[in-house]
Amino acid sequence: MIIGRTVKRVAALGIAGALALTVAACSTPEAPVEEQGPVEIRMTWWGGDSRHEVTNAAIDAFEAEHPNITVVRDFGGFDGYIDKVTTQYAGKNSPDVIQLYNDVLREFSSRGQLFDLNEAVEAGNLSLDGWPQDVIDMNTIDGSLNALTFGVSTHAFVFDEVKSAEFGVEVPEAGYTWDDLADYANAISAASGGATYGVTDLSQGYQVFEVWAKQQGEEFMDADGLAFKQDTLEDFWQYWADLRAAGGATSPDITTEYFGTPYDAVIAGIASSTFMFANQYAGVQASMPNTLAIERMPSEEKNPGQYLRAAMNIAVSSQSKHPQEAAMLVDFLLNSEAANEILGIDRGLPTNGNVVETATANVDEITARANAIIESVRESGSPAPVPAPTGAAAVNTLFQEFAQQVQFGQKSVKDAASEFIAQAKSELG
Amino acid sequence: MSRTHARDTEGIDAGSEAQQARGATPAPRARSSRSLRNAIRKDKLAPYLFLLPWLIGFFVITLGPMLYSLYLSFTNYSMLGDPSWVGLDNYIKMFTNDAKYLDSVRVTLVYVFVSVPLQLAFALVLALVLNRGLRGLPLYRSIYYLPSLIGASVAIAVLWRQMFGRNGLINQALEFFGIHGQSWIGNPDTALGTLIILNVWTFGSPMVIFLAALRQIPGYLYEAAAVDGINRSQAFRHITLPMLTPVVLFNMVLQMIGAFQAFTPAFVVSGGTGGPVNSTLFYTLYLYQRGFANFQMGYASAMAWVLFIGIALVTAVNFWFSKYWVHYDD
Repeated sequence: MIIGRTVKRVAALGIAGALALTVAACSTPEAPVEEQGPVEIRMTWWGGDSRHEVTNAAIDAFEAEHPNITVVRDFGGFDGYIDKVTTQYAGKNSPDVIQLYNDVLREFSSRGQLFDLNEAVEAGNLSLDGWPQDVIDMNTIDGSLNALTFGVSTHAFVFDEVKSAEFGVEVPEAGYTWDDLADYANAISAASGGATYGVTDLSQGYQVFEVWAKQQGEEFMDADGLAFKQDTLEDFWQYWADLRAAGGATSPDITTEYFGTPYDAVIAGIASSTFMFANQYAGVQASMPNTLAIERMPSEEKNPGQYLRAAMNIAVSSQSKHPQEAAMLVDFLLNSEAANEILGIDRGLPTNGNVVETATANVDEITARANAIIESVRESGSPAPVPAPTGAAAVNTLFQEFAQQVQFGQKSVKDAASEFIAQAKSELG
Repeated sequence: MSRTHARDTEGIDAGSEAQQARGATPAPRARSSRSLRNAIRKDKLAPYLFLLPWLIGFFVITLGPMLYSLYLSFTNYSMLGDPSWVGLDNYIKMFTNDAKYLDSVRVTLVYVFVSVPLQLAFALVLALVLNRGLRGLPLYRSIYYLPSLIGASVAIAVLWRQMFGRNGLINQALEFFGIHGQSWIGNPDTALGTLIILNVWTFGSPMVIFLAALRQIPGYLYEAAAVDGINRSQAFRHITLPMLTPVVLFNMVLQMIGAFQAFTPAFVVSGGTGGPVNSTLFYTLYLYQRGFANFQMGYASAMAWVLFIGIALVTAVNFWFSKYWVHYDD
């Protein structure tokens, strides 16, 4: 009993201590913007080595231009990236400048965690010259400009030209349809005797279904939630079920193995075609000897479903003590010729039309192929969807899970579609 | 030890205060109490000073966050906003309206109750073999122990992914016998199996403990039994096994607690999804997904506390059952 009392007493002290720390952390004062004194801001991003290299070089150039600002760089791979950022937010220690992907942008902005960049525009620290109005509208939530697009890209389909030639199957050309893709895939699988699949199974690809739905004049999700007919989803899943049955698409175990990065199956020579984003093309092509043909998605001729899509976004944290300086860095990275010359198109094409030429001045022939796809969508594409509601990330996961259950034959296409719609609705509240 | 001291000092302090308050302090008692206090001042404070780093670590880094997570488990907390109180909602949702949660519980229970007995059996068999006085024993012991050190690491999980993949070592070996294997980690029927094998493979640390325990069994027991004319298997059944039971219990409790909390293998092998079709969705992996991918840290905290209570219950049951089969030699 006496021990119990001691423990309680010490525990109480511990709680008091923890509370004191919390209170202290909450009461960090908003420091005013210092004009001339030394300022330290922190920027975080994810990416591969090539992105780290160019981003660091661009930030070096920024520091050279602004000797009083030091930029601490916090970069790494994509795994665990968002966990790290949210944890830093929870600890009231968020980075000042943050690279964010589309799925979570709304999660951050709806909770008031992003600085309104309009304030920096008014202060003259950020220019929107050269920015298309629809992009600005897309990123404005409740009157606040939460983020700017850090590179645009679009959906694409790639075909292994060497393998196709080897099996004597012609690579589909612009204007091909979903049926043409199915014929191609089945022909490859048949000619290779099953050693190479014609296409990776993409039934779990919600980004692929998004294009499919837009081609039918529907949307995967709009601001209110799901915005497609159940029949449309059933058609999509049935298309892939038929391809699996015919042998054209990868079997479920292989699909699972290359779940997050289907293009790795193409690099490994297991499949001869797949879907990817155009900005990924150069990197994938660099990791394999066979040349890859790049096309738009199938059936884009009549009712295009592809759109110019933010590859990623850049935002300033509302926790930042130096939001104006942070916005100056954003301005530099997005709008200056100097930065875009260094950054190139690693994150996709710049959104600011004024610097596209600079960014693409030195691209090689391979990257130019991907850029041509993005440009063709700029000319004839579908309008970008409005930002999805909160909970969209969970819906994407659900989509993948139900598609997988169909792949492994645990559910029929019809049951999976209706159950997915019901659960997604409850997830979106 | 420190507990005993705490009890002594507190008890005597409290007693003497009470006596002083009554105004009837017997002289000899006071003297002994004073000398004890001096002893504390001279010698007994030192251990606490040495313990201080650990105590700070425990209270500030472990207990504080734990209590905070208990509070969070009753809230809706996204990590980006402030927590808002929702009472028992998280706990209720878990058991009534989250099919995936129940999946994760099922997967974890299968993992624990299949892999731990297998692992212990392996450990025991190898310990018995190594206990025969093999030449080069330290070398073998090190080799078998090695997986325990590295088994939970990301590197090994990555290696596992390669081995059990479609074109991995296992399938290449099977190909040699004309069997065309499919991807072991890509199939919902076999993916969990590969993780169980990984856990069984880390049998080294229970093995070393078994080995030490085998050395502790007094030789005269076997000698006496030999005089009575029993054979090898009888000796194992009636001497070795009973004498080992306390260590079996120890290993079992430890390995089960570890298995309940397994995270890395499933995270790496399934690429963080717990797939295919949730077949490797370990409890901790789902907790992680809820907390960090879905921004539901309150729900994740509630899950953590259910796991904590679950492990405590299983451990308690283990100890309770132990009186029926664990033989203490005293």
